[in-house]
Amino acid sequence: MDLTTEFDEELHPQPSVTPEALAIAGDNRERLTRALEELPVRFREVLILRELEGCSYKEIAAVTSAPIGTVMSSLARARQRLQRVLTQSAAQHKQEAGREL
Amino acid sequence: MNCELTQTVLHGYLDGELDAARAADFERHLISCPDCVAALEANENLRSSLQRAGLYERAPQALRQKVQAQLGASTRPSFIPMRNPAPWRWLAIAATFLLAVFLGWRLLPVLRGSSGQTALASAIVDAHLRSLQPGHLEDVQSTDQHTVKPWFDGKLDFAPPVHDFVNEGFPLQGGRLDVVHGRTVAVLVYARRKHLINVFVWPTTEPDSEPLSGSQLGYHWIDFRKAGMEMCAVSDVAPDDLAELQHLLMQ
Repeated sequence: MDLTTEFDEELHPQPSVTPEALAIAGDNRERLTRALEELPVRFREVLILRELEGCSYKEIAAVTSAPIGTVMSSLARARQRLQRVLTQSAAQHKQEAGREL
Repeated sequence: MNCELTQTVLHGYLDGELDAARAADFERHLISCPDCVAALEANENLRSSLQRAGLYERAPQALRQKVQAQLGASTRPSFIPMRNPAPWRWLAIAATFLLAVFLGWRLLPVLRGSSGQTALASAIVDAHLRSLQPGHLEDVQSTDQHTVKPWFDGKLDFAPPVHDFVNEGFPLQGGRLDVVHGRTVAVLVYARRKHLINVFVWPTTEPDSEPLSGSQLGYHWIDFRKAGMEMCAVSDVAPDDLAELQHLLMQ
């Protein structure tokens, strides 16, 4: 009997909701939610339509009544801003963690 | 980041919104632009963390439908991404397809049958008219069915049923060969008072059928299939007389 068979994760999927994963996800969700809330509404809107609703530029243009070119530049700026906010909050988080230690 | 593309084309590329030529151009640009490579990676990470964070609680289907119904038709098509059509949509498509197949299956034979019948009827009415030209009516002139039937032997690849109905008012006049739709058929000639009736007979593989009748150019015809033979009687007699002969032939 071959006891060295590799563990097949597709056959035996690990429960995805381990306490650690939940904690990380919860932390991520909170950070991302706060970061999104800091964005101006028009940026938050295009970003959510694109990344979470999976809308095409054409669909976003229809929803927001903006030209497609504007959709692309809004998305660019929304992503840039979100990244900046997240980097800042990550740096803060680090600092806080450092102080606690 | 100094490359201006990181704030423009890169996003179109990331979102799969560029056409093939522009996407290829951008991919060539990526080879020589570390700014864009880094920005692309950062944006891809941002996307996956947004999508994995579970930020979004999707409304239950029933609630979504209710909200969409209230949003009105103008915004609806653009608001719902059609990535995951509801299962019933496929059912609806499948049902439509099946209905089309079913209708095609039921109607086509009817349509084809009726137009085929009409074409056949006009060919037979033509043949009937030709037979009324002097000297064309009979190849074998005899009122005796035992003369007419053997006459067909060797001239056809089938043996048409030949009966004399003189007692029923349809005396046999004779028989001949004719050509209908490219095939040689047997024709039995009956008389009804002063009228002549041509009965065209040919073999068929179709099942027996109820008589189908019609009229063309003032001539009536009645067509039916019985025991592997198709028969079509045509004449200027009244349709009732024709139906009577048809009953005799059916027996």
